[in-house]
Amino acid sequence: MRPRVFTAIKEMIGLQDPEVCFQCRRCTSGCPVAFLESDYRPHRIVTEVNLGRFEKLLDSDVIWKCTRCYKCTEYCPQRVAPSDVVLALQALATEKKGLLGEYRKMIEKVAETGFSFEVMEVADRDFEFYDRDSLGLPELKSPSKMSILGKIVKKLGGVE
Amino acid sequence: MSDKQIVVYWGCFTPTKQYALELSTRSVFKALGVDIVELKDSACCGYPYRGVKPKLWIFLAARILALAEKQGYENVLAVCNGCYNSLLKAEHYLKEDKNLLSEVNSLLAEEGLEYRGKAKPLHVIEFLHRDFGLEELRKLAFSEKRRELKVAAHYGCDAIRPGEIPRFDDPRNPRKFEDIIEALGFTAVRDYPRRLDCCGAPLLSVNPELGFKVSGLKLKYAGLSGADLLVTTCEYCFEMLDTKQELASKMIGEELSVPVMYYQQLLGLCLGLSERELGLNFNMSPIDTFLEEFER
Repeated sequence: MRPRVFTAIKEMIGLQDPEVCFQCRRCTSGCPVAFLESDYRPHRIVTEVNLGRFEKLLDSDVIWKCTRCYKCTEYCPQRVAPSDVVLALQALATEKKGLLGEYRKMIEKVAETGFSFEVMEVADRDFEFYDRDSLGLPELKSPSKMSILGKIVKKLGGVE
Repeated sequence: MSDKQIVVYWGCFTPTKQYALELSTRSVFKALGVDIVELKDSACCGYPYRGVKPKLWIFLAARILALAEKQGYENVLAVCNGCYNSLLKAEHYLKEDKNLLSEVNSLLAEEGLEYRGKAKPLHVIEFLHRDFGLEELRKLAFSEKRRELKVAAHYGCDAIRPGEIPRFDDPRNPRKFEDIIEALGFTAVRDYPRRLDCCGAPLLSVNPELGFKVSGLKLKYAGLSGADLLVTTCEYCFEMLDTKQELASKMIGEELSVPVMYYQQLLGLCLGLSERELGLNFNMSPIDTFLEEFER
């Protein structure tokens, strides 16, 4: 299983090697989520992966706490990229358990319209509602070959 | 400024919800004499899916750059920080990984597209600072009487990190956002605790409560910086810092009262545009005091 996660990290997302981590904890000390959540420790996640003990992380909500700010990656003296490790774990967890949270709905929307969200009516400070039309903004058009794009998105997004 | 035309990629969240960014960007560019060209056939850049479905992300990001290239543009301005980083990172990975490139190109071919790496992503701060030019901006929008107003910048993570991929500013000590604030005559707050921290928006799709704790933390420190206004250029950051500031306040159990605007809105005010043209009626944070001070 260990080579699998390394493949995921190297081929799917990042190009850096988590094995060179020497546990300085610089990632954790600068992480805004680690500041708020006691069970989120990027250096520990990297260690679990290096020891091949990440299986339980795939079922845990810990790997979904990353806010993807890349501070850990930016300040790592070993260029380990803990955020890429977490993203790779998210990809593996998704393969194992399917899409979490809002992702399925959003990917289905991309396959249908090209965009992750539907055009919304938005209230201003005076609670007046506006849409693109009433604001004089041009219509948001789907791509001209939407059916071709939709098929690819469904396939790559795993929402067939 | 040599080229007065710019192709803009709006992404998903701006054209479906954060209308103030689109309104203010269109109004300001018009006032600056820059023509906005729409990127035809655009769709999502794939960035929200970079963790859960990496291939989907790479494909959608490459598609945007391939579209720009096919339509004959060298640069594509992404107003959203996420889209900007998405395009930048995709470009990086496609250059490093030839197998990935050929896989992506075989999919793009179905729509008659090809990614060749000719079109480059552009950030709005980079555009104003370098292409439009700091001096030109100063010439059109500077006023000495704004000196007493202090404005803090929120860059947003995806604008500056990770620095392994070259971008428009120093990833650990960026300064160009503050430069374009000072070009208008304001005093920029050049440093404050958690200045380069996250707005929490990427957590919205899977753990929104935590997302608002992250934005609450950011806002708390921005509030302590002594700034009269916090500005950003990214609509996701704005959603967290302005639109949902009240929610962040509830989530961290502390009173937050930080006036937030898009930089484009602030620039628009300095160019004499109306609040409606800039979509300032959509700002939910307490901007009234700042507006009164500004108009004085």
